[in-house]
Amino acid sequence: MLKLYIKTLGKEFYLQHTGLLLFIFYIVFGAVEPGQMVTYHQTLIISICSSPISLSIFLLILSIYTLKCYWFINQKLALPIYQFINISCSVNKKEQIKNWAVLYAVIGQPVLVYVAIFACVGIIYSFYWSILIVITYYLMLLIGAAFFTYRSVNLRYIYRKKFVAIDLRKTNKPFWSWPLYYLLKSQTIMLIVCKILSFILFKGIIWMFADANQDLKVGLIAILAVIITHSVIISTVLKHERTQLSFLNSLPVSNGKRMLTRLFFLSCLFTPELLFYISYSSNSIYSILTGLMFCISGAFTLMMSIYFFDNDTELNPTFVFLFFIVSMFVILYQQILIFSLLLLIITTIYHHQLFFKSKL
Amino acid sequence: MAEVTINNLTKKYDSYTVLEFEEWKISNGTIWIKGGNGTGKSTLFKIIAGQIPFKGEVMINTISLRQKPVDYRALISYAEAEPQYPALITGNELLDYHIRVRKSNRKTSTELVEEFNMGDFMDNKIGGYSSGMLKKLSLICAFTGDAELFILDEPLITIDIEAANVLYKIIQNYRNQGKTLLISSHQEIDKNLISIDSTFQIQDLRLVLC
Repeated sequence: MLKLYIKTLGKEFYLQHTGLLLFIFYIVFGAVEPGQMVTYHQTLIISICSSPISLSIFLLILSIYTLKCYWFINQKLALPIYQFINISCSVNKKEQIKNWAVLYAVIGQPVLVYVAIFACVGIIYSFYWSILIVITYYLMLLIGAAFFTYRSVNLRYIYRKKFVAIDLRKTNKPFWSWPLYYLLKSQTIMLIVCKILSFILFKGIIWMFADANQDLKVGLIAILAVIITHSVIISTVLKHERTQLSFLNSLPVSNGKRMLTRLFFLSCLFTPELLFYISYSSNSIYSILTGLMFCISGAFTLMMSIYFFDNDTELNPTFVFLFFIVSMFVILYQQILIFSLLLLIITTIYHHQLFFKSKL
Repeated sequence: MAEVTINNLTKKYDSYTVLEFEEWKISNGTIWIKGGNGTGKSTLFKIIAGQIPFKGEVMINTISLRQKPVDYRALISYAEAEPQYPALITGNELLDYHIRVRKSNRKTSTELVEEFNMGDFMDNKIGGYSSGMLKKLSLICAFTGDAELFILDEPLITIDIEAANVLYKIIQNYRNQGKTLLISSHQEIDKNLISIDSTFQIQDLRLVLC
């Protein structure tokens, strides 16, 4: 059973999050000169061990990552294609929790590796209490996530009362807002985790390059991080649109209208980050325009790439990674406005083609 | 009246060919496409409804799906076999959207809602609908607006006898108005309740008149 979990859920997790994980890897290991890498991480770990506030932030990061894994697994388990997992209910409780915990450890490998490095450095510098706290806390997170997954698989029949129940039936929801409602109501945890991660990365990059004094490149790298963080959300919304809104393909709705609706949705989705970006750009019209263009065209490119690769679970993450590399170079060479315009033109033509070939 | 013409059609799923023929033409009336599971009825309907890509040409009264997709889609109305809609919106919100897009009036749709006994559920979220209610909602949406061709994929599955009788009546009315209705069903259609003008079945990748 465990092998099956890893081959299906584990593999899908890594395939869907390749872009994001590579981006985080770049931020953690690539932003420092290779010669200073060991010293940098040694200092970072020592500062985490020696300060309760830094240690709390580190534990918070571990919690967010585990929460993201938990959300991902539970969201997948709700899909009809994963109904075969229900067969695991016939195995005893201890075995089930153990299997889920191992799966969470497998998908938590990027964090687990850093915890291992943390423990080694901690032992060398005799921070035994910090190591104990971090290891115990992470083990508790893994077991907690495993236990709650066990519960959601085995106790589906229990009625769960909602803590916050907002009745939106009387509120008229216009068509353009349907994907947003879908995210807010059906993918709440995913949206919250994504937004937290996006905010941390955005602010983290701005702080990391604080000495650059509001350099446009820094703001654009932060926007790039935001786009990559949202790649899973974009893919989820598109999947929802292709299944639940397929009736649109038989209605007289023009290509322009459909494309504008999508661009409007993306603008709404990125509004908080774009507001942060605008405040960072300190009223420079060129910077604001460049950032907005890059954000919307980049996100729309990721959306169209899902069509282009036919939602291929291997090619799509590769594209996200390539998009990250190319965008990074374009930002460094200060050609992002032309690049964004080019992306927008290509994706507009592609959207037009999809519409006329009944492929939307 | 809608004259539907399909030329040089080929539809494959990977390397598996489902449909392949040179020409198929139908005009007004009720046309029943019969056949068992997996014969390609739903695929044919999805092609005509502009839902899936294919090789070839589909036209209604010389309006091509490829060249004028919006004009073409204004002429058709499609109710799929297993309708799927966003779970969080209400039946009325979906219907309002159809009314707006099809520039139809609310009165006709309200009558349809009443005929299908859906009045009490239209303000409920679609996520809470049974499969029969979902099917009725898709039929209400399909008969909203002034289309020329109605494509009804397995319209009888999951609905109760009462709703089936309402559907028969609507189909017969539209037929009498000169509209074209394409219906697929693997169940026998009660020919005492609706007049079937021609019956086809898919054999060896092509449509054959029965």
